[in-house]
Amino acid sequence: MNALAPFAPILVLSVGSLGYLLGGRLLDAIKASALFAVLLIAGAIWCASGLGDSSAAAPYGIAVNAGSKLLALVACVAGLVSIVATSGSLEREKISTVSEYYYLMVTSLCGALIMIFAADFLTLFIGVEVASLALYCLCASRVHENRSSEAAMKYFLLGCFSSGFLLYGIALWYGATGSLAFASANASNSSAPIIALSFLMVLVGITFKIGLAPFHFWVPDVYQGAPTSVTTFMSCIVKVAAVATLIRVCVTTFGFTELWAVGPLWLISILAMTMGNLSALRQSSVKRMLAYSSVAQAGYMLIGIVVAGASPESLGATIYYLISYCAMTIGAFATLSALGPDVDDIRELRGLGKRSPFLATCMTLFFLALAGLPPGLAGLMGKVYLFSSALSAEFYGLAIIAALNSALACAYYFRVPVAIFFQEEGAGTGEVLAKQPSEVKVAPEAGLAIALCAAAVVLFGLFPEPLIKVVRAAAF
Amino acid sequence: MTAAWPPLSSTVIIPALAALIALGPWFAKERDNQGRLCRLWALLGSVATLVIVLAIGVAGLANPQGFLRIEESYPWIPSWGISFHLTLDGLSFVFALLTSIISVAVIAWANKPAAAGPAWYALLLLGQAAVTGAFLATDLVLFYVFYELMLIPVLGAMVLWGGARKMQAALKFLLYTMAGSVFMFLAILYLGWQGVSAMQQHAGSSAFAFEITTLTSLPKVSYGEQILLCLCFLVAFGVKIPAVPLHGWLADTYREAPYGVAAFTAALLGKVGLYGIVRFVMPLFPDAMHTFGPYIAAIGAVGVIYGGLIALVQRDVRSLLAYSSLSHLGFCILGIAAASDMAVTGSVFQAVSHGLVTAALFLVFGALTEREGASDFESLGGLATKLPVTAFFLMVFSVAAVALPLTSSFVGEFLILIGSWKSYPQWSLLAMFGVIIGAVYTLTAYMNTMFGGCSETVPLRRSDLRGAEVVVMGALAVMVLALGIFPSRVLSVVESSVSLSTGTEERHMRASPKRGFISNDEKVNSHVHSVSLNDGAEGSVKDSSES
Repeated sequence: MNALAPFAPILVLSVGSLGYLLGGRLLDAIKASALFAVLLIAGAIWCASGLGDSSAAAPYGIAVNAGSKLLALVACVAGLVSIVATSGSLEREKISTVSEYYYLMVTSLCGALIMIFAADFLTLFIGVEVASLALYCLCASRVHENRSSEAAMKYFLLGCFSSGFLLYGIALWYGATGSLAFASANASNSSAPIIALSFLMVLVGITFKIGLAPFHFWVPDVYQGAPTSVTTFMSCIVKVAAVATLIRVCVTTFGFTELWAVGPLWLISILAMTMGNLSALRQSSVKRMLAYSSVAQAGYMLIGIVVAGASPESLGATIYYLISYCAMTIGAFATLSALGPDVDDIRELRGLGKRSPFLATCMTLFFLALAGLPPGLAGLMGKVYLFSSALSAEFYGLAIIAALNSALACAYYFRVPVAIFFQEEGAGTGEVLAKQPSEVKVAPEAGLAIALCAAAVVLFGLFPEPLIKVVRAAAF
Repeated sequence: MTAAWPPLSSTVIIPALAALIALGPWFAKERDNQGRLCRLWALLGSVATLVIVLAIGVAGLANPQGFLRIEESYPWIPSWGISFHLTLDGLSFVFALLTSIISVAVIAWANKPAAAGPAWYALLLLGQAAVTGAFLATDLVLFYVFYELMLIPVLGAMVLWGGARKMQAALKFLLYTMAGSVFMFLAILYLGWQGVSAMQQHAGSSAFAFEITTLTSLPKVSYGEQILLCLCFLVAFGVKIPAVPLHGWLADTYREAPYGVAAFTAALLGKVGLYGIVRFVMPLFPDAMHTFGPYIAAIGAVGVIYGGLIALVQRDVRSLLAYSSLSHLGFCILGIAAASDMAVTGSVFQAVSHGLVTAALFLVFGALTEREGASDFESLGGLATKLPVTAFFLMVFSVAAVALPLTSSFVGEFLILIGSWKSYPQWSLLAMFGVIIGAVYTLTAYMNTMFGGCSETVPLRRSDLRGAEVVVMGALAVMVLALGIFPSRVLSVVESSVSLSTGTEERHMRASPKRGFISNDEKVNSHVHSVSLNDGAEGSVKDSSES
């Protein structure tokens, strides 16, 4: 039994996912989401408990330690909140295949957990593929929508492409070291060109998956085309899993002091935030804007990993920001989803302040937090953490560019609150508004989830101390 | 001093809570008849804050050794050495008092945007909380949080009830301030990290340090770093004040914002910039400020003239007030550059005075133009006979703006010009011409609105100031005159804390661990008021007497 303990969450999820397949048509949406909740709560309890800590040996390609457990907990909670927030929207989005939908969600979450716990490249690759394949299908779950299929196709093709890179990098690594394990890495020959090449290949593969510039071109199309419920889910789950992988690969495996490792990552971080923010400036679709914003936000998160070679404590900053980002982004997408399946244009948000003060306030809070302004203090504190770790590691250029970017980003983050509260309905929107209901009904569970995200955004910012303690304790 | 009832935090928390509660009705479906109740509620909140500030002031003045310094500190984020640290001394007291007074005045002012409901009062209260917090915070990160929070109510009110080009103006304001403050943010973090490494050498603590007294007590960062960091702070504050090359947002914001918020912004937001320089920049970067002194003085003096010249040709009341603010705040910048006790005290005094006068002018002109339906001088005119009360108050505040003796501005500008004469006679001289230009455009504006021909096209909807408006204006006028006639009490309160910041002596005393107050020549010459220095913990009264 003890030998199985490290696998518990993955096992629970994969066995649970079978329930959906066997249950088939018997499950309606409510039962399906309830099952999902039970599975995830089980996973979360395991993550929070001391079960299965096996930091030393990493026996079956799985490393369970404080860091991976924290990220797994984040993934479970984020998945749970996003699924609760959007469970009511399945019907509106005309997703009839409820059990398949949840089956795929559980599977992709399972893949994400495998990625988080992976201790060697093979396990990592399996995790990446499990998570990705399920997400490709999920993107296409609005079968009547062309855009949904298009998004899935695009995601699938580019995803396969990136898997190729990842696999080739793994092969090179195996050729150079004779082992697939992450831990064997701090090798004496770490400056060999083949190691560098393998690192770059792996990096390209993961960067594709996480959607960091310059490999981010699929992100806006997929985020926009996929059902909002799926976008909510994958915007955070993929990030959590990929950040865990990046930390493992960059910091643990490749030692991460060489210029060939820090340089590209530095460049990717800068490119991601700059290109993400610049592209987001011109978007009129909220989902596309959030997609580009997530590219930029991932760029910020990377700061902690870039400087980790100089100050290992900065990984805490990345995880802190990741957690805040999950709360903000799930909140923003869930609010969008609560408004209806097709609400996308920023003009459709006009007058929301009158139609639903609750959603309007929460949405404003999330966007202010993404911009890093009070009262959504979680974003600001995350930036305090990230920028100060960059400064203390003497990466001044990175800190300055990131700071400039966060000032630039305010320009588009503010457009949403402005549209919500300050612009009159009907001004130049024509037929867009005709289909807007005069009042928005929020399902109670969605309201609860959104309120939870809002509370997290405020509380993580007002009282960051407990969270800081947690992320500092998380060692990989 | 520790008290069971935390007086300083309550000055921040009461308006913030009041703002939240005032927002309550907004969630309700029924929205009629709430304006009155909300106004009363908001007034209650801001008056309560004013009373607390006054009570602190009375207690502070009663202290025989000079103005009592009150501190409150609660751990906020111990891991990063960030605390909820509020300090009230003479300097922050006058600004906190100004904030409370202006907030009460703006909230009590009957004339507000037509569609303004609970949100108007909530935003104003939030603004009051944020500005008060910024004036009291001595932890740099906490200060930054309040500094950014100030933006939200101003932007919100601007976009909700602004003029025709409000979006453009709001975006401009936002980008200017964010671009400025983001570098200050980095500089704060850098300083905090410097504090860390310095403290590690001293005590082995691993926390960041953002508390201003801790930071100033540490060995100063190197000269090159000081220059860079100081520049980051100065740009941020320069945008807020605004100083001359950074004032691009000014006219648009004042023109598009509703009058009440324009009054609030003009009277308080820029003052946070000035206060920030005196409170944070001067003690943190004495060497860099020494280097930048001549440039800052030039910026100040050029601002005086430039703002004045542009104000001369303005046809719109709000643009005129915007550029006259630029001109008057130029004096404050000049005074800060001179860095003598007298000049800096003069700057602070002038800032307070300008806050009162500008807020009053914005409010009166707001009432006037709303009732007249126009804000350019060509449509206004010949109102003195029809609106005697308005004309009277406008006269008082115009005269105060011109800095005639017996008004508060006179004291401030006089102290600045005298205090900066020794260091920068050329800029001091230049700024004196600004006084003359100021007289020309202010009195011309008065003449155009109150006397002269009345335009026929304006519908006769005019009515004079009434009720609460007269009370507010009367109170502000009494304050302006009282400050002009009896300035010495306020001056000594301000000076006691300003001399901690001017700190020319610190350059000589750096090696000494204990802070000393040795008057150098500059201070001996300029020092006219009886100063009672009180640094609380260190008992520095003794130090100053030694010198």
